[in-house]
Amino acid sequence: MPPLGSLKRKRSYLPPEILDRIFTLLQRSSSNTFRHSDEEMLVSRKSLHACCLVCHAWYFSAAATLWNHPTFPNLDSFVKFVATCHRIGLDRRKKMGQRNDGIGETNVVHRGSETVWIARWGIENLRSLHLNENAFLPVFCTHKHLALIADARPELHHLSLANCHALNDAALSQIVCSVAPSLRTLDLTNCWQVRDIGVQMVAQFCGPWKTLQKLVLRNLGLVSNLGLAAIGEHLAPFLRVLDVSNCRSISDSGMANFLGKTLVEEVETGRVSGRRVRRLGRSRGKLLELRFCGCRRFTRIGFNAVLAKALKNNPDLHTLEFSTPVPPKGSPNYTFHSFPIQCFKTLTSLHIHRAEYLDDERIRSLADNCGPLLKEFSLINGIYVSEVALKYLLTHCVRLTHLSLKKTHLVTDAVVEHLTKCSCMPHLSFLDLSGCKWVTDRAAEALAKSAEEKPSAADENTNPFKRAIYSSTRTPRAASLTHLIVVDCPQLTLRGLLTTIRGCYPPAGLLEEVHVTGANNNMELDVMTDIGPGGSVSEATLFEMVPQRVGVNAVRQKEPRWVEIIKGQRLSFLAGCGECEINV
Amino acid sequence: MPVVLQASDNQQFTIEKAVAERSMLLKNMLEDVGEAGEPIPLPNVAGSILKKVIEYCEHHKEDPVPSAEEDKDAFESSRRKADDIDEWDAQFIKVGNEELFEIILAANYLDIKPLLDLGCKTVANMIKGKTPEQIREMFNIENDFTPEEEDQIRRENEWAADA
Repeated sequence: MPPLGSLKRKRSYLPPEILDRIFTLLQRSSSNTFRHSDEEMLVSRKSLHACCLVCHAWYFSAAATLWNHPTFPNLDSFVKFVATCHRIGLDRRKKMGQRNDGIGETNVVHRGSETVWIARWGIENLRSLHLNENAFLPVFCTHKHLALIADARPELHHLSLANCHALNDAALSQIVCSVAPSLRTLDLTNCWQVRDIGVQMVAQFCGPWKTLQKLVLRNLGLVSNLGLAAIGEHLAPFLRVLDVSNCRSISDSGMANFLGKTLVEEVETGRVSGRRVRRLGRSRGKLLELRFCGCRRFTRIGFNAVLAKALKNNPDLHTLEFSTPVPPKGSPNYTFHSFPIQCFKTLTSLHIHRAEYLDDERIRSLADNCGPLLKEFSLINGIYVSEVALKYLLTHCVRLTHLSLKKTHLVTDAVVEHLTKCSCMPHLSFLDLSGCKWVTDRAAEALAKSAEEKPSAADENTNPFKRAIYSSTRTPRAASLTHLIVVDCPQLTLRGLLTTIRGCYPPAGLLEEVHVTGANNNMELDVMTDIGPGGSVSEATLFEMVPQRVGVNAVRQKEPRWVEIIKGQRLSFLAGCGECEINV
Repeated sequence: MPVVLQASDNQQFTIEKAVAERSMLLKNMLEDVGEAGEPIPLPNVAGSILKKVIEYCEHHKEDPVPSAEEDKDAFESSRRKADDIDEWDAQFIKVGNEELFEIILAANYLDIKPLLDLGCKTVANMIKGKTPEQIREMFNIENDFTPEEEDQIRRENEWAADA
């Protein structure tokens, strides 16, 4: 037998696992670069398409990568994709000897020839379909498109139909019925037309397969306790993530009923006097994430009961998002004194909406009880929380990576400056300060400075005070901020904002996205023209200055329009449904 | 304690343990069998390729070992890297196509993830923007499709063809 090394390999032979790796890198190379553009994405896609046509071995790897998570940079591409699905669906039906009217005539089942099998290889590998990756696709996509995709029977694991406003119960049931056996996540955010009946059908289709783990029904105003009851009936025992935020009709009793269904009795096997026995073990739910903010029918007593039940039944629950319930009518207690802070001790992600019913005492207690574990924290509309309490909270949340203090009015420059000195700053990647009226350029400068400050080697060795600070964080103080949201911060000017952008922009930081929509009147395009060299700013200069995405409001309130530099490529003026480019 | 590696053509290379441990295969092997001092046979790697791989490992012996978390979220970690390929690596990987493929195969066999990624990224960059014919010519690949198959594949993937 010859030694393995002497076996002659076919020239340029690469095994499938390496081809997969190469094509995955090729696909990601467009999103790998910091400021990726649509052109780069198109080049990657086109290259993958070319790889499909090289040889059989390359085809199987490249087509699998291409189809695994298809992206559609333009409508034409989506239309062609749907047409391919339609063709495959027709072909499948023809092969099954069925008539187009759907009445089965399954007398002869033809085995597909190799070419047919090759043609189906792409659709066989379709795993994720996200129609919300572009702004135009959800608007364009109708129930007919979905029906044609459903007809090809893809083995989808992840389906996102978020923002498809035209999606109704019939279209939803058609696509879910087709993909239910393999479906793991379903996102229906903002599909406003979906009603209880649609949700009930989803639950009934997916229930028997026990694969659905994540269900997002955010902002479905027509979904009520009936829909939630169906989810409880069919999906609760294996659901990991449920988001029913802003399903306004859902009440505390509906949620409590659902949580009651999440309990699954575990079967334990053991031996008693030599005989194998099976007995029912303790019951526990599998829920990891529960979001129900904006559900208006929650009472304070019911809310406390729901939270207690959620955390008791699901010990692994780590994420909660909710709105603080309003006080009972005529109640003198505006503040939510019985806010169940003790329940949150195990959470790593907590998002509190309508926090106006929480006072300093609650916030301090929250910081003491959950602060050290929290990685994501949102306090929205905390208008009565003082500056001191906020500082106390930020000091105690040492692991924060995501912080939202939206509409928390007393977030001042001092609070932001305090934040930049906190232990959480080196790992904070998401910061939302929208609606914070008192944030000025001073705060923006503090954020920029935090990216610049790095302990020098000499400081680290000689200065015991600095060493003590940095030893607790281990990493040098450098901004890892990737997302900054400063929507509706009227005191923040473009100059201040650009200071932050320049400070947190690579190589000093990692800033990727800034949202400025709804900022003050001073932040007009005229100001922007002063920034560039020679008093005028070109697209190229903008591209250099700003990260991927910066939204700037032209004239607040007077014009309900918004200006956005999309991926640094061009300045688009989006007004209503029309879009026209303007030259700066 | 040095480690001796024996390539498929019986060439032997003596390297430091720290260099050998860049390869997960060798690291696990050394942990399991201890340091017996006998040469470790690598029947899938030719001497010339092994020499290149050792050169890479020697240059990167000080690099931190990628953590398990980074492996888990490879996409996230790759996004955070400012530049794809550093200068030394780019010079190192400037080799003929056949040698490049052999290096990739050796990195895969020896389980050296950074070298495997470097090789794969290089191939991905070479492919970018090329037509099927150019790719076939570049890597000396034979077209084994029938005209019908090629036509079907073209039609099926038409949605990805536009640029």
